[in-house]
Order: sequence, then structure tokens, then C-alpha cells
Amino acid sequence: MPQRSSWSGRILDGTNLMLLLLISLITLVPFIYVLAGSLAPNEQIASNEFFLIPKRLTLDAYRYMFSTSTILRSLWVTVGVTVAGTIFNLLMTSLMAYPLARKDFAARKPILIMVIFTMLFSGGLIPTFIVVRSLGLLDTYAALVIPGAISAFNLIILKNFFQQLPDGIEEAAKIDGCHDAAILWRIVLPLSTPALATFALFYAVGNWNNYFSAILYINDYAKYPIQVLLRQIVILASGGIGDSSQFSGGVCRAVRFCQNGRDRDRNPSDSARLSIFAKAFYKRDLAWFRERLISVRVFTDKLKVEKERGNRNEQTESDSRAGGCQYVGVGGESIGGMCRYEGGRKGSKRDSDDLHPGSAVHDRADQAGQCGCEENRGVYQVQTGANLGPKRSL
Amino acid sequence: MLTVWNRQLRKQGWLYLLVTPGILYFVIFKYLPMTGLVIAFQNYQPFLGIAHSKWVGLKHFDRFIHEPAFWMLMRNTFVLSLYNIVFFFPLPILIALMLNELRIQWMKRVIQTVIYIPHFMSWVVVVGLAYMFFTTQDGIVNNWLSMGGADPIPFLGSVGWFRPMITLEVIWKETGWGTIIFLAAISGVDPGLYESAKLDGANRFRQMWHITLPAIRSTIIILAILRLGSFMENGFEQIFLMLNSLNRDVGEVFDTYVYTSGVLQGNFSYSAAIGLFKSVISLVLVVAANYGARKWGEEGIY
Repeated sequence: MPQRSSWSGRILDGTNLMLLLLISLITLVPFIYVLAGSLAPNEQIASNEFFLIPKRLTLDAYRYMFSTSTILRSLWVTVGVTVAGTIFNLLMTSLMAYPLARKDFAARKPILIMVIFTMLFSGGLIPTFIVVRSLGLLDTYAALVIPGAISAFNLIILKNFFQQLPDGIEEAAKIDGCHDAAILWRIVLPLSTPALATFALFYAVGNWNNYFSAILYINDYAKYPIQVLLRQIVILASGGIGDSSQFSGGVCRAVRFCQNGRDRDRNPSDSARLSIFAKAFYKRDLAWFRERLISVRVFTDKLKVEKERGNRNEQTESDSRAGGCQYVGVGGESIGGMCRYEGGRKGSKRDSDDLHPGSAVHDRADQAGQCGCEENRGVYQVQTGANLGPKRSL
Repeated sequence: MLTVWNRQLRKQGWLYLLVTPGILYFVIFKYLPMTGLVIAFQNYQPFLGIAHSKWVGLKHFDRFIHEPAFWMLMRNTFVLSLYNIVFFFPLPILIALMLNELRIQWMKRVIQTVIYIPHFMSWVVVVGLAYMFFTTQDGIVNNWLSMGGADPIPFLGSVGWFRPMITLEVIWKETGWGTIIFLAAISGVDPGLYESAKLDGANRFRQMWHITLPAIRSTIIILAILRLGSFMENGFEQIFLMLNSLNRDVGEVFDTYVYTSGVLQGNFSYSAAIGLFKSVISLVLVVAANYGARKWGEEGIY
């Protein structure tokens, strides 16, 4: 390696090390910030007293988080999907990779070409969605696992790995009377544990982080994996930038209202958010959201909720934004808590309107413009409730 | 013919059996959707199915390319990919070279491990972090700005900041992970080459330029081909999560548009046509990039 001597060399090394340390720091700071925030009492977060090191530590946020059923349920869904999904991924991938690794396998070439072509061209989102739907997989956990069972890329790498194993062992096993499946199970797989562990990690991360399939195929919020819930809580609730959606407005108003309210100390929304986040990191929270689907459900759920909650939210806006808030309320007690604040406080309407002046108008105009065709514009005018009509009827 | 087939099956029956679930998967979830693309030429009605829906030829394509959204999508996709290639693509190479120059081995391992972490976070988490840091209301960056007396900057809700934010997030999340492949290529370099370069009086920059970089050249080219091939892909999850009504004009890309108009609004045929359009362009790009690489005397990807 490079020689150790001159002054210029040392300065170079020093600068290099400093730059790399700086990069590592930039990588780490957000994590530490979230962890610190999750452990800090709310008033400290509210007053911006600290950045990375809270003055006093508390586990309130975590206690709060575990006292709710929604988050735990979501976590269990994700854990289940990750464990079962990863086993399924590995099984499918290695079953297919082994015959393809056998040079004497007659159908090897055409099958390989078939696999590689899927890496270059795909049917795309809509036809895949239609296939999954017609298989009756919508709203099942299987939809989170089966459509992504084999990654063509991983398959080919694993195939190459199997090819590198010495041929002699297989020959010997064959002479001993092993058939091909037994060779795979008793010899090839045990010899490939490092490779399998690596793919298990990749698949597990992918399954844990899976958000797209969930928003695509899962409508039932009881089956939402943690990523979908996380997006609901963290992004829609904390930002609500220009109203990310008609739906998000409700949550963000509700939450922001709570935060701005004097009840802040009693309402751990801030640190609850942070702690969920931290938790996500801790678990290597590994990978979104059907805004309008949700808001439609919100719409239908709204009636139910209103009955249950005795029209508590009546004084809030009656459009779909308020619906968003109620949806979260349905989803879980914790966030329901936040919403209750909105319902419970006076002057909430004025407060939240000030935060997003004219956003409703903007949003609608924007979306009508985005689809730019007569029929869709019509649909949008009737608010989100109608948008999902087609999907629901499928 | 039949006897050949029979003998084959008897000899390699197990292999055929093992490969069957995988083939079924690819046929059902990859090839069936490809045939499903015919709905792009139909007025697909879910209750009629593909068999009974009306054929409309190229109507949906015609409608799409005459829509204002068409040029918006093309522009957004193109600019985002360009940003990605210009600002993100060289960074893993640079960091890999820097790591390679580090002499303290344990330090190198620690730094490597740290910069790999963000790759394992989901886009929900990364975008969530971006929200925590950059919102105008409670974002920590804007809090600092206001403490310094400056006006808050709408990082997440403005046309001008959308692309830089997307690129920054990608850089934060993927740069570290991207170094792996280059570090692997660098580790394959024969140390003797450095020795002889030193004897010839090459300083460290020279060694890097004449030995390390050429060693990873083919890796760079293969990754560049793959990147060009996915030029039309901007990462649905990230962009979907970052989209809001204020930045939709610069943020909407093919995937998010297909999702909104197809899955959410139920315009299946129209969205399938857009998807097909995108897939065909992608295919052409990969083939062209691969052809180009071969022409330049490099090994392509196939």
C-alpha cells in the first residue's frame, strides 16, 4: 500500500480521515437525534432545548407506544410477513437456482433467458395488480409475499454461487444413490450457508421495508404493516406540507393542533412519534400509502366512528380532512388520543385554518390539472370519496 | 421426440420438479402481466375482463402523448435522473477511493459499517427523517434558521427544492452502500502494481489515477449501463412519499402518475398504456447502453 513518509502525504491522510469521519457523522446524526428525541420529555422537544443530548431521560414515549394496540399489531404483521416471507423467498430462490446451476440440465438455457428477460422488460404496475387481484390475493398477507417471491437478480447470483461449488461432491453423492433434490437439501444448501445468510438478509430487509406492495394490495388497515402506519404517523402527521393529500390535512391539523395547544405536556405525540421512529431504527426497521384509498375508507368509517364516539368530532371540519383524523382514531388509541384533543378544544377550526390557508382549493385545482381530462376532473370535483369507486367495485 | 422427452424426464425429473415452482412464479407474476398489457389497446372493464373488453387500438397512447402531463412527466423523469447521475453516481466511487487510502484498518471498517446503515432504512423512514429536519413548522433546520433571524425555507413544499431534496436523500441513503462494489473491485488489484509504480516514482495521486481507477473501470461502466437502463425509474416510493400539492409540477413521474390514474382512479387501460410506453423506452435504453459499451470495447452486461 501507499508509502508512509512525506509531510504532504501526512496532510493528505489527515484530511482524508477527517472528511470520512465527517461523512460518518452526517450519517449518524439523524439517528442520534431521533433516539434522543424519543427519550426526552416533551417539553424539552417543544422548546428546542437540546439537539442531541436531552437533559433528562424518560421512557414515557415508549410506554405510550406500547400501550396502544395499533402499533403493536402492525409490528406483529411486519414481523410475521418478514419471517414467513424470507423463508419463502429463500426456498423459492434456491429451488430454482439449483437446477439452473447444473450445466447438464437440459432446459437450463431457455429458463435462464426467460428469467433475464424479466429484468429488462416488465408488464408494469397495472397488469401485475390485475393479476394479483384476479388471484384473489388482495387484502391477504400472501399479497405481500408471493408477488415478490423471487428476485431475478438474487436468483442469478445464487445460481453463480452454486456453480462455484466443486462438482466432485455432487458426483459422489450421486454414486451413493442421492437424487437431485437430496443433493440440494443435504449437500448444496449446507455448503452455501454464507450465501444463503446474505440473501436472507437482503430479502428480510426488503420484506421489512416493503411499503409499495402494502399500499397496492392491502386495503384493510388491520393488516397494515408497520411501514404504512409509520408513514401515517410520522410523515403525514409531522409535515402535512402544503397538504400532502386531502387526507393528510386532517391528521396534520389534528396533530399540529395538539402540539400547539397547551395540553402539550399531557400529549406525548411528539416523542411518541420519535420513539416509533427510533423503534423502527432499532429493529432495523427495514421499507407507504394509499392516500385516497384511506380517505375513502375514512369516509365510510366515519359514520361508524361517529356513532361510536358520540359525534365527538362534530365541531371539526366536516370534509375529508377531518375524516383523516378520525381514521387514525379508528386505527389506534394512541393517535386517537391526539384527535380527541382536536375535538375537545375550542377554537380548533380557526386555529387549523390559519395553518393552511386555501389549501383545500389549491389541492383540488392541482389535481384536476394533473389528470387533465374531462372525466377525471369530474371525479375529483366530487372529492375523494368517489375516486375509489372503480377499485372497490372490482 | 416423445421418447427423447421421456428419457430426459426420467434422468432429470427431479431437476424439472425443483425448477417448476420458480417457473410458475415467473410465468404468473412476470409473463402473465406482460400479456395483460393488451389492455393498453382496449377499453378494459374489470367486469367484462380482457376477453370481452372493446378494442380501441392506439387511442390511449394517442391521448397520453397529447396531454400536457406527458411533457411534464418526461421532463421530471429526465431531470431527476440527470441529477442522480451527475450528483449521486460519482460519489460512491470517490468515497471508495478515499476509503482505500485510509491506512488505519479498524477505522476503515468502522466507517464502512456506519455509512452502510442508511441503506437498510426504508424510504418511509428516510423521508420521515427529512420531514423532521426540514419542515417549515417544526423542522430543526428551519428552527435554526429562525434562531439566526432568517426566514424559513420551504424545503419540502416548494418547486425549487424538490429535486435537490430528492437527490440529497438518495445520496444520504445509498452512497455508503454503493461503495461496496467498488471496494470489492479495488481489493482485487495486485499490490505488486503499486510497488512497481512506487519504484517508478509515482506519487499517491498518480497511483490512484493509473492503477486503482483503471482497475474499477469496467465496474463503473457496468453500473453506468444499469443506471442508464433504469433512467425511466426514479424510485416510486421515495417520490410518492415526497410528493405534495406544492411540488407536484416538478415531482410527478411515470410511476406515481400510473399509480394515481390506474390504481386510485381505475383508469386501467390508460395507465397500462403509460406503463407500456415507459417499459419500452427502458428496454431500448438498456439495449442501446449495452451496445454502446461493447462498441467502446467493454464487456456489456449480456
